[in-house]
Amino acid sequence: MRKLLLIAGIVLSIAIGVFGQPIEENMPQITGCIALQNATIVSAPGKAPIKGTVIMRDGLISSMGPNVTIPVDAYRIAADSLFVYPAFIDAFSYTGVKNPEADNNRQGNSKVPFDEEGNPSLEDAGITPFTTVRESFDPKEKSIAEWREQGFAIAHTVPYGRMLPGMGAIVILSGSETDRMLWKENISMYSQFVGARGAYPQTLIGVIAKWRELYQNSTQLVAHQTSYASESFVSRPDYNRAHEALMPVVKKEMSVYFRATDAKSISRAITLQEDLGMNMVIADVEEAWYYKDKIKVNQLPLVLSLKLPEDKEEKTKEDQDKKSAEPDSMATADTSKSMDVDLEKEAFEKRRATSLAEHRQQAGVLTKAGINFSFSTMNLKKGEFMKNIRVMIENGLDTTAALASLTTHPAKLLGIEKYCGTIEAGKMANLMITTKPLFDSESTIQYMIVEGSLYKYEVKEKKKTNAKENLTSLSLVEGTWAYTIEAPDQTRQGTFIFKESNGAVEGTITGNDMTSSGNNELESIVIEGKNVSFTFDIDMGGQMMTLEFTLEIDGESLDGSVAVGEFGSFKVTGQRTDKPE
Amino acid sequence: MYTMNKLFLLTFLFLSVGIHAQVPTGDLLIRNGTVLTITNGVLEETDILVENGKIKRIGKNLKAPSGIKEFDATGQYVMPGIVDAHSHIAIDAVNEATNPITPEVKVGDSVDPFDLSIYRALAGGVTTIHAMHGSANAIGGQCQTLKLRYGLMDPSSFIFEGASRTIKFALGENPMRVHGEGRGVQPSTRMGVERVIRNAFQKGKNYKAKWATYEEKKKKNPNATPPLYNERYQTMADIIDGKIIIQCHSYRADEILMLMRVLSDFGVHRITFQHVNEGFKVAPELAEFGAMASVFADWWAYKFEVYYSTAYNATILTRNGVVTSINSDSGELMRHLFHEAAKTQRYGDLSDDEALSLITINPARQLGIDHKVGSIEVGKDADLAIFKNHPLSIYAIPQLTVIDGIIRFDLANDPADMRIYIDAEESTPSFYGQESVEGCLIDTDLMFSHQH
Amino acid sequence: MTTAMKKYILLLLCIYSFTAMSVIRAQQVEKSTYGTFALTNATVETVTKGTLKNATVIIRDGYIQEVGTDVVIPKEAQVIDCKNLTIYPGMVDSGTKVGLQEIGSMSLTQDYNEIGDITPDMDALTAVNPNSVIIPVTRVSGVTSVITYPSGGLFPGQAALINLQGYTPEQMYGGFKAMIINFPSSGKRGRWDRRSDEEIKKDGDKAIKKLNDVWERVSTYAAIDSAAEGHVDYNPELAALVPVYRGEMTALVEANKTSDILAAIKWIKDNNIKAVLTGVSEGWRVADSIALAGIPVITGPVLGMPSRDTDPYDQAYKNAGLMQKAGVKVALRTDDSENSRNLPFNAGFAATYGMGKEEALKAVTIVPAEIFGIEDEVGSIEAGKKANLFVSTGDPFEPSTAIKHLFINGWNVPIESRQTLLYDEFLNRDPGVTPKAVPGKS
Repeated sequence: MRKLLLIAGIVLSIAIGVFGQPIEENMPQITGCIALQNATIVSAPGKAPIKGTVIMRDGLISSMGPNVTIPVDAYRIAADSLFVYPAFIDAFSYTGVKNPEADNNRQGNSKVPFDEEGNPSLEDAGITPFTTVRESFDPKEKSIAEWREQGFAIAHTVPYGRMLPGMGAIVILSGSETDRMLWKENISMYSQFVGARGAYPQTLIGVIAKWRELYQNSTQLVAHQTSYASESFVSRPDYNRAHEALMPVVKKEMSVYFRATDAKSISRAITLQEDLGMNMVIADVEEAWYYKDKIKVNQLPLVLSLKLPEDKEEKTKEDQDKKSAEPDSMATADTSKSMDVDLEKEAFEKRRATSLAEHRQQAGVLTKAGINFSFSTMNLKKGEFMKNIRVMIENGLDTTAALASLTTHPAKLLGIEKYCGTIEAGKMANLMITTKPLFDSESTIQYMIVEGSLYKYEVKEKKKTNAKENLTSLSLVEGTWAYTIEAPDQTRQGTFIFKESNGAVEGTITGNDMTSSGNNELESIVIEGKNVSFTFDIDMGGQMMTLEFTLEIDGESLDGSVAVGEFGSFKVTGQRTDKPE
Repeated sequence: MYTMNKLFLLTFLFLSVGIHAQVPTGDLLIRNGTVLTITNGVLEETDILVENGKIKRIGKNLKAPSGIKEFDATGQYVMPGIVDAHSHIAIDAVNEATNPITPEVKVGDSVDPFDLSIYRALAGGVTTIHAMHGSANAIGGQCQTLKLRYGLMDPSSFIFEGASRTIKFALGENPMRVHGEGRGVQPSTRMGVERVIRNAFQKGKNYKAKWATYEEKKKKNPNATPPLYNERYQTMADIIDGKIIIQCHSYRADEILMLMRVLSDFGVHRITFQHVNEGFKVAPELAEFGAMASVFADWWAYKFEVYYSTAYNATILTRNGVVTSINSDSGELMRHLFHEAAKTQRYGDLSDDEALSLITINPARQLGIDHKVGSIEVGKDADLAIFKNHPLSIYAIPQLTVIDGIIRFDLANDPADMRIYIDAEESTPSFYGQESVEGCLIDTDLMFSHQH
Repeated sequence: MTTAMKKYILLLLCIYSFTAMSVIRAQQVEKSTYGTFALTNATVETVTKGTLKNATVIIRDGYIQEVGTDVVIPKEAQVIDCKNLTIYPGMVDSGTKVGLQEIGSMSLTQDYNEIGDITPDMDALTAVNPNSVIIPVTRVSGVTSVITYPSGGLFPGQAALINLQGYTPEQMYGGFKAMIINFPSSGKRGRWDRRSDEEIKKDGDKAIKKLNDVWERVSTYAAIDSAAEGHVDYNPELAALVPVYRGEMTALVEANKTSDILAAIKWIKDNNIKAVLTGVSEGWRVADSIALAGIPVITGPVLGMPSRDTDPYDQAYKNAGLMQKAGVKVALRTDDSENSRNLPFNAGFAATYGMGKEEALKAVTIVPAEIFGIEDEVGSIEAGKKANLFVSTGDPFEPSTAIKHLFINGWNVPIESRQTLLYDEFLNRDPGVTPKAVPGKS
């Protein structure tokens, strides 16, 4: 064990360029000790910042305070201008697991086999409470690095699936071995109102009926197993994997994390809990305020989604500068645009705005109502995370509660508050080091320390400089490019399109056989001199491959190569076909 | 059954706590209306006093308790709140169409308190609906009688306390199409429909026997092990035990007779046939069996099994002594059930009381709620609908709809936008054309209009 | 047994056998009769000339010969005493599938939707089934004529006005045909329509482009046709549209969503065609624009849902009245087939929700006649008009009213349909459950 801990050395992540993502390079280990010197430390939510030093060794915080001695073997980080917070804990996520359905899509209308009672197999029914995170976990899954970059050191991860996908695990977001990264396995039961495809239970009512039956049978099984163990002349219990897997739930040794995003799902989850009596956490919640009284009375732990509705109106307003407004769907901007229509639209818009505000104010409203919650990143885009937290803060969530919802609350919910959630000597060395106070709009993360492993992120330059740099680099690539990839089996052709968006370069790719599940955005675009590099994830018959392009641009033509994992590297050529004025 | 009941006792305790969420009730004095009591004739210039959601007194010039809310119904008609015996609004799941036999599913688990159709039904004088499973399956699922308490957030506060348990059966084309044609399993004929239903009853009976045996064993051996719990066959056992009223989607005379034979064989008697377009052809048999009928006023020819229908169905059934109701099966029709009932005066010769019974006391009987609603009587729930002009007249306009003494619709205070749930991402209200899939085949991916 | 009792029993027997006979007779199909009829002692709602009390209407050879309180009854006339009864002009349902559809779920009984988006040469009258069971069911509620129309694509074909009596389509034809144009919609087709806003817009734009492309071709085709004096290449689709292009044939332009209605008005004006807007479920929102454009409207069903969640629950009831009040010429339709018989109830709801009884009656009688340009022929009770009328116990919008007599094209049509025959047969079924259960027999 000790040896393993020591191996967790320093991993330097270097972010190349301002648009890209950190690319990890395994650097040789220097030392197992880090000293974060003279930083502004917020050790726990609500604690006043103190100036001091944190010493970390072997994955733990060994000491902290204003006057600590720095060990001679420490890797020193001068943190005079930096701020230190406990790293975030994600209370509910898919971080690190793959979605098997994305790989293994049941073809079209192919029929699900079923038994003489008309029931499909447990797997086809989506009833797999025995499934573990381990089965679909991949240490290289890119969500791990992505969420770490956003400040997360630990995630409660659940497997993908349908009605009862399986059991959750606590994952350390650092490392390369599944055994090391899965800290605590099978700590929760995940469920949602998602029916099977083309098989029973397909609908909401089928799922709920099935829950009742499973729960009852599991209850009977608990009693049966007890008497089987203690009495004689008891016949052996029937074996049913689902009933067996749900026994800890029935015994209340395991909580059900019920994913209930919208208002109605929340109320249905609450009802199911009341009916069956299991321990339940209502998770990935977006609209809790509708039922906040009931949540409070029933003392149901809550995991809030960090998603917020998109404000299409605001977006339209932005777009309106560029193109003329589309005729609205209630009435055209015709001669007949009457008063009444305007009033009607105004009334509608007012209610929409109210609803939007309710979503944004939810976290604050719940805090004021005395309801604690944690946050979940499930199905959240990483770019929305900090942005949405700040929107919630602008709409009444105080920063202490915000930090607590990302540290101490989830730690307590997951039963790991002894080990993490705050910066204290003896706790796991999970720290986040930012350039400004955490929720400041200009704050960015410079270092992440996850169980003692150090990740460094290039700090973005100030925007003005960026814009200038962008302009020069943008003109190099901006426009539409027709490319040809000379792969051994066939020549592939398509286009890249590069444009400016919010002070950054964005790119998209099309191709004659690009099936990328809808996403065609280029990632990690780096422009240096005449060289451009970027990556693109492609779905190769269910397997995700990363294409790594390295290109040199000469005026209106490009030349270079693309690396496709184990398949090797192929020549790329291209011409610019369109360039904006 | 018995141990299971014990095992479930806690559950049901929880359940009852959940369901009996304090439902708000009100006090109200309705002044000087023409009161259509249904069961006790027409009372002119009469007041109705409501206290705590119940009808306290009916009479002339009642003394008003101080501070009570009053509604002047002079020149208006007060009738019992309308009961729709067949509806699919206010629920989010209608058909679990993956098996021809799914008695264990309950549409009550999917109550949608935000459904705007609820308000639109209230605006047509409807106070109670029977939210039903669809007709994709021969034995569909358990239905839920709801009071339209629009404005309450908790789905459980819509549940009609004390209503009978009911379950949807379906005969004929729909289960044949969904399972036979669509999924390649029985039934694909009316013979097959009988077979799958008999099969389910027999399995329910066997299941019941298995538990009875277990209970016997348990007396001698406390460690006897119970059989696997099966909610599907437990529900069939409940039907056999008379705990659930069957509500059977049916059209043709032969299939109606078939089901009555099957039920006789299993000793089941409580049934209301739904739609039952050819009920008029076997009205004497229905009356003899004690079966009830819930019909459309005039729907026909939307598929072959309703081609030989007549709008005189309700009249013929009524005259033959069958307790008959008129239902909507549609969020649109539901808003003018009073008008649908009136059609029996064109297609037949029903009296005003008989016609109004079709949408009040008769559906209440069919749902086992006639002790609470369906007529204006002292002690009953104050579920009332007030109209300008007689409700059977084409010129009737609903003015006020009251549930448990609380005004849920008031024409004088009726904003256009009555949505409760607002989608923050919807930038303009969507326009919907008139054609829409309604009723019995929702969730079956069969996009025929008019497949009721 | 006393004599009185004997007499009583005899009487009972007579009544019994009389009823039994009438039941037997009812089971045979009654035929319509033709000739001269005098409807006497009636209240006459002429629609165009007010109400006449205690009046007589003479029908001869298919036409109304005379209407008035001082009328000589021809001696060959069959007199029908209409004491306590009211005569109304036959009602017109301005949009149905009657005769084109027999059973809703069976496509092989449906003849209104041909394959192809542009099939303007399809003629509904061709496919009208004079023996449809739906026809008698419809007419016994006083609906004597209907527009029956094809649907589906952009130009699904031509609608026809038919009278609900006759053995061939030609005998039924009511003298008006019109081209159906389904103006491209930018709305959802129903709640099941899962297309995104963008997709809907794209589909709509594509359809508009197609409409204009077709119209440009029609324009060229018509120009060549004029120049070449009819010696133009064979093209049935374009040829069918030329009369519409030249303003010789009315177009029924279906548009429901507010913005679609406005776009349709603009398109009609730009192309200067003779048109009627149909559907128009959101017409209330732009009623002034429709009135200003002077385009008549056929709207319905009145018994419909509001088109948006934000609309009042009774908006569909009120729509017709709001447009009529704004000065739009409004006719009503059920847009139904087997239940076009509900036209009077649709009109009744429109009357109740703002249109008023008088205007609602016009919307199902004289207004459609005017819209179709046959107001000299039908739409009111006037001498010289076709005898399309019915005699009822009162207001035909009231469900409790019974229709007693019916005349279509001067034919005295029996008040009978398969639905009434089934009533006659099954009200007192014989045998009942068992022979002993049948009352009156032992």
